[in-house]
Amino acid sequence: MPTYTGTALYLAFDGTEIDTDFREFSVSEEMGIVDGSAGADANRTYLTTLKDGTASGTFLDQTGGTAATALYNKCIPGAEGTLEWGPEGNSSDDPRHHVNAIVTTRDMTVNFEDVTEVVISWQYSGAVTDTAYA
Amino acid sequence: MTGPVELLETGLYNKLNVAAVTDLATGGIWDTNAPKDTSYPYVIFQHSAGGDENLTKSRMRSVVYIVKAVSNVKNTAADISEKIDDALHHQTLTVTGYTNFWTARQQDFRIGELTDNGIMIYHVGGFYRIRIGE
Repeated sequence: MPTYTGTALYLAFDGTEIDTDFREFSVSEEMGIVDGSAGADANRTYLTTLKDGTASGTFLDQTGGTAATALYNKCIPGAEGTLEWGPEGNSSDDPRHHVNAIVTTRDMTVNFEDVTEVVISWQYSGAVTDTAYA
Repeated sequence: MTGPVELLETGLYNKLNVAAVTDLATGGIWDTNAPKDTSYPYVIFQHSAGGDENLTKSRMRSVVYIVKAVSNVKNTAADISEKIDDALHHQTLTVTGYTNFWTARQQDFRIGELTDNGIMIYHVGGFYRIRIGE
């Protein structure tokens, strides 16, 4: 299977596609563990606890817009909805991932001589579903 | 179909082809080179560097143009250069299908060209960065 870039990324939050002006998108998932070793154990052993995850995206902000059309206005901290991403796009059989997520941070950097960037972070709130587009 | 290069150059030409410039640059506004025997003074704009930025899915271009006055009178070249600057620096070009979100002078440009018959021709202007996005 060949490698691929992010040009085809499909990304949506709360039903709105937001990938048009993305520059970078990343997800991070982890499994909580606790130390289960004791007594005369020679090696530590662990027990799994809860899964967790976050996502983050960097976007170029666009002028104007409302909550329905502008990324910045849509991704208010505390906003909750389905975060869905297809790294290879959303054509039939492309991998599809989605999770309920909450916007935790919304950062904007305005540069005099460069484009304005918005960075959005999400906290997963539920299980990720890894599937494929029909 | 007209592409972004030609569309941007049309916008640049239109920005320069105003009375404030052409009242002094009576030889006209020309792309890359003026026709042989064009009378001085005139204005030349010429692509110098840059191209597509490939930052997001939306097409975005960042290009640098030399825009200069050409005259056999030094002060006239300088005066026209100032009018070019008024027309372009931190101004907005109208580019069909794109938004011009940055136009600014980056560097100055000045050379003297001695013709075969011993006349000094002055080229005075600047390098202008122009950025457009879909």
